[in-house]
Amino acid sequence: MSMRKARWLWLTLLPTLLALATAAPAWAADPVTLQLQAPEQVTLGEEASVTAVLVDGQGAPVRGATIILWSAGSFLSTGGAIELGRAATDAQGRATFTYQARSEGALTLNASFPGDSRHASAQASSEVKVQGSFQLYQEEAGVQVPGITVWLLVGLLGGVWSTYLTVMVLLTLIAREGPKAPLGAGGDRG
Amino acid sequence: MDKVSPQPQEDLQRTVLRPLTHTGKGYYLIVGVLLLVVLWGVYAYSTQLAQGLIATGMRDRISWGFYIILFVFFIGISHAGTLISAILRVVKAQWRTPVTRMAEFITVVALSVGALMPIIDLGRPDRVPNLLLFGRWQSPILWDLLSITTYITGSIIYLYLPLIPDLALCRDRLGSEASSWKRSFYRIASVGWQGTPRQKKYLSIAMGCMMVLIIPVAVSVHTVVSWIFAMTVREPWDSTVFGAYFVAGAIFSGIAAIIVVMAILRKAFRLQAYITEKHFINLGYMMGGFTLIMMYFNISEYVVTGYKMVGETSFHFTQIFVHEYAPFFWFYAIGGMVIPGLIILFPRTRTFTGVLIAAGFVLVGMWMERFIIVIAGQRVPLMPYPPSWYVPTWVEWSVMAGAFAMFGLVIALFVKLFPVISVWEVAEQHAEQEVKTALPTGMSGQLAPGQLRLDGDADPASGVSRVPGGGR
Amino acid sequence: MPGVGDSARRMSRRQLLKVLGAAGIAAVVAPLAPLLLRRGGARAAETVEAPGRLRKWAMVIDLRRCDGCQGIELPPQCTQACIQGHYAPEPMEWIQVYEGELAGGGTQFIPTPCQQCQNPPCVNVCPVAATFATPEGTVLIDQNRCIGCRICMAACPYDRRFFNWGNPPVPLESQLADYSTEHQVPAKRGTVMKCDFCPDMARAGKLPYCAQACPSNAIYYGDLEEDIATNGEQLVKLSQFLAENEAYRLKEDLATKPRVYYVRGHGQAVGRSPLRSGRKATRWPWLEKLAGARTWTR
Repeated sequence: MSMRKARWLWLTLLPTLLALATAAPAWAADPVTLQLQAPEQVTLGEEASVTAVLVDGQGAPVRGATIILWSAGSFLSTGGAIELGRAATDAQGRATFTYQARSEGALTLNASFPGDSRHASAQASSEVKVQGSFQLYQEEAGVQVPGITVWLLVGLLGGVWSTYLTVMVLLTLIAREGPKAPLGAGGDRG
Repeated sequence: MDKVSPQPQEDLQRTVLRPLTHTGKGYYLIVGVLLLVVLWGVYAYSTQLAQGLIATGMRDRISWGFYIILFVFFIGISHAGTLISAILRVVKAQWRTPVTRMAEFITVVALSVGALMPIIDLGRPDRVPNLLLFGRWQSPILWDLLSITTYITGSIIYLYLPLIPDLALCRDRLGSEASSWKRSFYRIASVGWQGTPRQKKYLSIAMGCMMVLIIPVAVSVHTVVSWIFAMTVREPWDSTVFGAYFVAGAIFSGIAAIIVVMAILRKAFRLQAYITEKHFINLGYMMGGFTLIMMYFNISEYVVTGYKMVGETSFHFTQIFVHEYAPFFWFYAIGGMVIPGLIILFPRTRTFTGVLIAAGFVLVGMWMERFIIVIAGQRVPLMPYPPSWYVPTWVEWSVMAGAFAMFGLVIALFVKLFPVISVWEVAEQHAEQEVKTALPTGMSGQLAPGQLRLDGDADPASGVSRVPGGGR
Repeated sequence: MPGVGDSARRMSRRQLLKVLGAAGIAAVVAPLAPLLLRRGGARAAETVEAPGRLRKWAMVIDLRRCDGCQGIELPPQCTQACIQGHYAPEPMEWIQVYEGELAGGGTQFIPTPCQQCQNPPCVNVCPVAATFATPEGTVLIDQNRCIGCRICMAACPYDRRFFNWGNPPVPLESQLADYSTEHQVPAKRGTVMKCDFCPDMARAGKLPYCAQACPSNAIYYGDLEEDIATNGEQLVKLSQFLAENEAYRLKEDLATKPRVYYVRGHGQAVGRSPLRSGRKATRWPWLEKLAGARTWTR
């Protein structure tokens, strides 16, 4: 092969090699499928188990991948994604989450896999219907001390004031006695 | 008492009843001065009403000041009557008799002045009815309201009951000498007392009920007053011993108050024959005993917290033992407890004058103690901020002066209306003593045939003086 | 004798029957006083209870993001916004940024609103139920009922209650406003005020003034019932946020059970060194418009 031919070969091959090199990740990035298994219906406040399964293009499970469970929400005029949990997939490609629904109505649970050096990213979602509308957080302000009631106070005060009443009665008895005795008479005189 | 006063009953009555009908110039002067000070205090309070509490030195960080100190102080003094009158009556301590009336006066007046103080301290005194309309029984302030009204009612009843025979005496003895409204007053207030056996029985039942009842009521009063502080989490106040500590401090300052008031009235009305040095010494002994109790409480508090030095304890100790409030604390500790204790301890100083000086120290020392509890207690920072200062203004000083003046003024008015010594009880006691010394042993109470009652005839309680003659 | 005696007896009997009657009434009423008080003191919630679920407001303050506004060289914006929004009179800082010392050296800034305790010492001691807890857990003050005894101020362990010692300056726009416990204008002399957690703002779908104003979004406001919180920028699941960040509360040992949580930090997320201390002093700009407003110090 002549020098000119060899150089031409390199010049055509190099871009091809470069193109192949840059395309390698996409090429090498396995498309993956993420599946989210969640119950269709759940009661408010109930803890439900939600599983995300990540398999690659060949159907083999992907292990050690971090899956993020999230849902869209809004609160006080701020909307956005609420992260509900993160878990890593096990040997079967399953990541399990425990989710407790706190808002009633229709809920869309989303799972996403951000992708890594070998895998592409993936999303999945599942619709869950949250039933029920009742108070979950029950704590009330204040403290109740058993046995200390207003009746204790009433009893104590009652005892004292009825003694005062007794004394007043005795006073009236004294007053009533007064005019009966002869004026100026002593008691044990004579 | 080591010897019975030799004064006959006639002299007793004359001496004790004299102030009710004769008033000297000195009295008008004193009352005039006291009235002026009270009016000045009222003027200061009106300034506070106009401007708000900004006229005082209290601010957010130290939000209780002189008014609450005076509240605790006066309620404390009110335990004087309970102790002398009730406790000593219950244990039948004979020497207490000439002292009980003044002690009961002090109780009622101190309670009235003390109960005014929280109202003066309120930011919205126009909303006092809210306490009744919307009151919460779980609040320490409501406990205060309930217990203080109960105690005031009880004290007034307890002042009144032993007063009845004396009012009857005034009714019978003070003829034209007393003004006409006074005469009607005595007539009405003595509720027809004639000294019949039945009346005496009723009176003694009533007094028996009250004297036993008033003791737990009084204990509960100062306990709930202390709980205003102890129910908070502020470190110097968060102590389980506050109830007992305050009650002990109340009785302590109450005894001192009696000594001081008694000394003044004794001098003013020449009662030296009935209130002798022995009375002061006995009260001094009690005060000395309470000095030891107070020292014990203080040592408990400070040694137990100081051993651990939890939280802001070191800040608090520095401010009361070393720096800002050290003069107040050490005056209280040395002047208010150690010095009175020493005065009582040594026979050389255990005299009328010594006891009076000790009582003066105790009163000032106990005021300082209240100051330390209220002010230094609030000064301990709760969050990271620099500690504040409390600088009372002229309004607070004036109201304090007015409060003390009011205390003096009302007592001055009382002594013009009621005998300062419980005449019938003293006379009864004299009679019993005379009979005991005159009779052969084994007999008491009954007159032997031919025997006369030496100090006037008939029933001392009726207050009627008789010419000796015609016995049984 | 009969004439005098009779009239005397009649007079004293009448007198004493009056006394007896009064004593009788007193003896019956007085012991019942606590019962009457209980009925009077019981406080219906001021907020209209929505059918179904109640919000349970809570706050999380991420101290990693708080530098006391040192970085922007202004007084703490949370305090300033609260002062402006509520017309808080000087020197009231309903949310106050304290600078606390760290155990290992350096300082941290701690924005401290009313902690909205669920075992509130202030509510426990108030004699007239002027301060009370709502079913949502917010602790409010009724300035129309407060008698100004200040036992609540003695009881609060967080220095979060403020007294109107003098006539508080009231802005023109509030002088004719209807007073509401959730929006305390006009302020009244002789009563207590404090942070009210802005429940009226929350019901209207807005964050409190302090949370809105924080330049680094350090203040999260949330609902424990729905288990959600936001700082205006980001939404979080409240229970998870608290657990993952090991949130703590102030003076936990006092068992006041506050609704305000803190995430440990010293402003590192906005580049603050704990050794740099000091912040700008709080100001009350709205007061400057009111000529001759008399204020006081804390």
